[in-house]
Amino acid sequence: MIHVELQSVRKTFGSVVAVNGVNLSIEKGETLALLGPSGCGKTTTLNMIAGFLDLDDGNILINGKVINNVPPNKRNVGMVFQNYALFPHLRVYDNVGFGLQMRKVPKAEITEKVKRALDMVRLPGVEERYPKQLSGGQQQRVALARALVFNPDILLLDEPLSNLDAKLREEMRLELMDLRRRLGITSIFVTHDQEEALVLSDRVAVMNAGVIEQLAIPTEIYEKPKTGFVASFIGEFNKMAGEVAEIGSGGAVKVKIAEGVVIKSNQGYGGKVGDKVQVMIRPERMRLSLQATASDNSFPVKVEKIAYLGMVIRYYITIGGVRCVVFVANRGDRLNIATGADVHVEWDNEHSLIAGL
Amino acid sequence: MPTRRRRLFLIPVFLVLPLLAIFLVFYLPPIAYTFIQSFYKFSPMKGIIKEWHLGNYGKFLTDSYYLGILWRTIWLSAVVALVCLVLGYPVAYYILHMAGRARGLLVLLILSPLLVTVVIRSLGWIILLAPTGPLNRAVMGLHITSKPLPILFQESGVIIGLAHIYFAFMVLSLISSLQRIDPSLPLAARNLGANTVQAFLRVTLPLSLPGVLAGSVLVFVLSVGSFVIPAMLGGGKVTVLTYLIYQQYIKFVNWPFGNAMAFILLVLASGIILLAGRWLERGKYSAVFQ
Ligand SMILES: Nc1ncnc2c1ncn2[C@@H]1O[C@H](COP(=O)(O)OP(=O)(O)OP(=O)(O)O)[C@@H](O)[C@H]1O
Ligand SMILES: [Mg+2]
Repeated sequence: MIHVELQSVRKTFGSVVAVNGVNLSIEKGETLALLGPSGCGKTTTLNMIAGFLDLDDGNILINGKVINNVPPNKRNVGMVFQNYALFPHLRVYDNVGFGLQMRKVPKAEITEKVKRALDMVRLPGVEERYPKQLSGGQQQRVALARALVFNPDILLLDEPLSNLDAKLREEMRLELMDLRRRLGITSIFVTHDQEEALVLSDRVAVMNAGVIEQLAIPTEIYEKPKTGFVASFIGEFNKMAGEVAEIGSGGAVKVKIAEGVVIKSNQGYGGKVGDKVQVMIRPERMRLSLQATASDNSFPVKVEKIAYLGMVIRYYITIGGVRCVVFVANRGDRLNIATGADVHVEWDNEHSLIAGL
Repeated sequence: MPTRRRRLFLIPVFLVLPLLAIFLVFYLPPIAYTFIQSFYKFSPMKGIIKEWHLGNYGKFLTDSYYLGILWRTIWLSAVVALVCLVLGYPVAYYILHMAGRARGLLVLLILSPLLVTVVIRSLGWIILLAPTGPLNRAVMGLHITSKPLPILFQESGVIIGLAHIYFAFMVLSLISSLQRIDPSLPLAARNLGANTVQAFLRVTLPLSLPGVLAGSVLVFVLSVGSFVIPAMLGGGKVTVLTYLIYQQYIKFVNWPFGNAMAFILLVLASGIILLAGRWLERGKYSAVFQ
């Protein structure tokens, strides 16, 4: 059942087109991540769903009803703001209870519900404190409790974890996952952190310059990026420009990168021989080995630089004149490869993605 | 490193030094002298006599005439502050939600009364409010009243004149306070179920209380200390404390008594400000002031 739907939604600020015809539909209970670079219109989209901004064009529907003209206080949508937007002059109790007070819930019930909400975000007993007396992570929890306490139909989160340090972010991410599973509430959250989007959502909408470039489940976004933008925004890619040399059957394609360097793929290509294309390979799908093996793609290379990151080791090499990077998981059996070593880089056909230029 | 840090620590001290010097040289001695002199005796024949006594204060604080004028000065100033607040808040709120160019123009418009000297401005009000002036002719022409409105040379005239100039101070102080409110806060209130009025009353208004306090105190203090406007628009019939002080200095040359009155005014005004501040800071929204 479709819960929230955006139909050709458009919003401009003067000459700036913030959102340019966005179509989305979100299932009941689904979590959707809006992922994109700064300024691509994520917050604007969220603000329109919350009712803070009027649309220039298009419709927003909740449960099949157009809600374009419903004021924000009548939408029953919970929101966690990018900066939390806790009321600095009110105690945590009044902050969390605000939505209930507005709904004229009896006082005893408010006290009870506020307590339960704070327990839920694992922050019991802070009712009497002011937001300023809480740490960033605690404020984030209060903001979440405030958005959930009145049982909203939909939860909107605008970069809920962006103000936290790396360690806390990781922790809150796990908690959000857990909470989301328990509550099963339809939620849309904005982020420009790709990992967050992939981990926390059922589906990811990658936005760029006011439009959605791809809307798919996380694995598909990562494995099969539909546009060059999505490919470059999510994870890393080694990109090599070349010319289609041969198109065989069953999706087999050969692309010539340089003299003597031909990359094989089985991902298919809709164009014709001679087209200028880009071959994209994930760094973690490449392998390094001391001896050449019978792989689809295998090239002798020299290790130019090594970056030791702990969990992974990045090896920089050059294939056909193009600088590439290979990620190798640190399994403790550190490859006996030093800078300057002669090795072979190898990968399988299915990891060579081909995109038109 | 320690010396470096100590030097950095001294920078603010150096920055306030000029102001401190001006204060110590030009401001403190006259005040101290005025304070000392307020305990001297005065005789119309011999002038100031350097003998200590509390008579100047006693005379003022026991005479109902003087106390009445003190009371009038205080409530008149309080009403001016209130009028500026009530009229100024919507203006400040509106200005803040305006686009850049229009906002600048409106701020200029609000500041414009300050560009005209106080005498000219008061004369303008006298002409406007006079029994045969445009206001009364309009009111009587429309048959709203049959007699001219009793505004000029009354307390209401003084209030209008004072509110006119000090309005700008109120609006500016409110704007600076409203500006500091995170714009997402009223939105958060709306999101949580508050209508526009509730969002304003529960969030925007409490958060602007520091500006309300600062503006009110400013207007109150300026009104208490104003002299020309009550003198001109009061037409000598609305006596305020500054006028009494002026009289003692210029007409009777009784400086000790004038000084005593000036000090009573100073202490009272500061006392009221402190109390008002305390009351707000202790209130429901005390967190706003921290
Ligand atoms: N109130 C506004 N007035 C004018 N332009 C605006 C306004 N709000 C947003 N914009 C513009 O619209 C575009 C989209 O803004 P939006 O805030 O939606 O970006 P975002 O994707 O949330 O970015 P970020 O990741 O930095 O938060 C930007 O170019 C921004 O400058
Ligand atoms: Mg944003």
